[in-house]
Amino acid sequence: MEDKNFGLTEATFQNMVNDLKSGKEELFEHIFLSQFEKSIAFIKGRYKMTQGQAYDACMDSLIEFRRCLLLDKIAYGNLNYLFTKMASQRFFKNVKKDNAYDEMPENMEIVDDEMILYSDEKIILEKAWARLGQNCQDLLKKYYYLNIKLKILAEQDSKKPESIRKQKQRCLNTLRINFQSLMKP
Amino acid sequence: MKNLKKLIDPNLDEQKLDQYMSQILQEKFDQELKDKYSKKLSEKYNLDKEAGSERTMPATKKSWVLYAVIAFCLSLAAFFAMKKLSAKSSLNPEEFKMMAITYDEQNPFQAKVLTRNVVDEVKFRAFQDFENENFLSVVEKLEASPSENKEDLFLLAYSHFKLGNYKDAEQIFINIGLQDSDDNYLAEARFYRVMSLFADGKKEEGMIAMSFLAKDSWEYTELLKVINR
Repeated sequence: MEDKNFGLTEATFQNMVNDLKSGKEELFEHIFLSQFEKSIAFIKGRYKMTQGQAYDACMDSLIEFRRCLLLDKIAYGNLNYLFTKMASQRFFKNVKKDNAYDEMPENMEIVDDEMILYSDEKIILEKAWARLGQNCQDLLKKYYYLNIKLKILAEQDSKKPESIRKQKQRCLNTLRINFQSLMKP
Repeated sequence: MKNLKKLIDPNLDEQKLDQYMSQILQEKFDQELKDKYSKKLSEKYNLDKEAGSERTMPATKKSWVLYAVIAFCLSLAAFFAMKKLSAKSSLNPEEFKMMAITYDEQNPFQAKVLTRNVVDEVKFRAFQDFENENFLSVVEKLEASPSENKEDLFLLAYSHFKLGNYKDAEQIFINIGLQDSDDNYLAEARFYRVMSLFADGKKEEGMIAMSFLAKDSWEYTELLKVINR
């Protein structure tokens, strides 16, 4: 069974997921980065990709895989197959996306529902983020990126959910004010 | 700025705001993770996006012989230079280690940091930390926004050195030495590369690296002063 799961036993897999959830990344990184080259070689051979395409597909899948592990969307079973499947799907998606951009008229708007930042906006995000205090950065990262519910965050900090919600709101407002001040000409 | 304008719109409803925040932070942190993993893959597993395992070029039999001859000549030169240098000091590796660790040149690089015009806020904070000798924070900040700028690299390497991460420090000092855009920080990087080796307990490797330095260079003279102190 372990050979289908990056050499992991079910218990080690569970430890790795628990570690990840508590912010310890070492085991996850060790397992997946040490398998990265094999995964690249496999999908390269199978789908006739270039090194760069296979690398990007595996990297995107690794990030996606990590997110799914954090959200308990992946169970122990056949992780190798799942990972390479994700990487190949990611490759086809990337190819499709590149072609779509090539064909897109210059004046075409990006769908309003998607928040895709331009490079100058990314710089403002970095600056606005750096102006936040460490507590706010941690809270917003946990809530918006790691998808940890406010209730859980409140339990971790021994606070009431309402006060965590207000704290999150304050942090968000500060970030938006930072955006505003940095965007002024 | 139209996307960020959407985010600061006071009429934006909470659900939409949450959705946009999730999207921009996901992009930000995913990118940070990708950068971190790419760096580790390159450093630890010798795997890069473009070259990958094909990075090692196949060598012909003739070129192998040539490499072997060059390597032999270099080792011979290094051996004699090392012997000459060793004669100057009878210290053992442990004493060399202590000498490098306790070396304090009063951080002459701070002045350059103070006068520079930093546009990037994260880096600005890193430089402030450097001036305050909060080296751990410097490493965290500069590694979070990787740069090939020699000054940034030097501050990062120097901070590693001060934190006792001599291997990391040495690697970055080597990389600075490989940049030939201008002479800034080159001499300092060569000096500290040797100091990192000494501090890491690698006296002989340090001596070999030192023997390759130009004998009339600032870095060589400074190293001699440190050794003979």
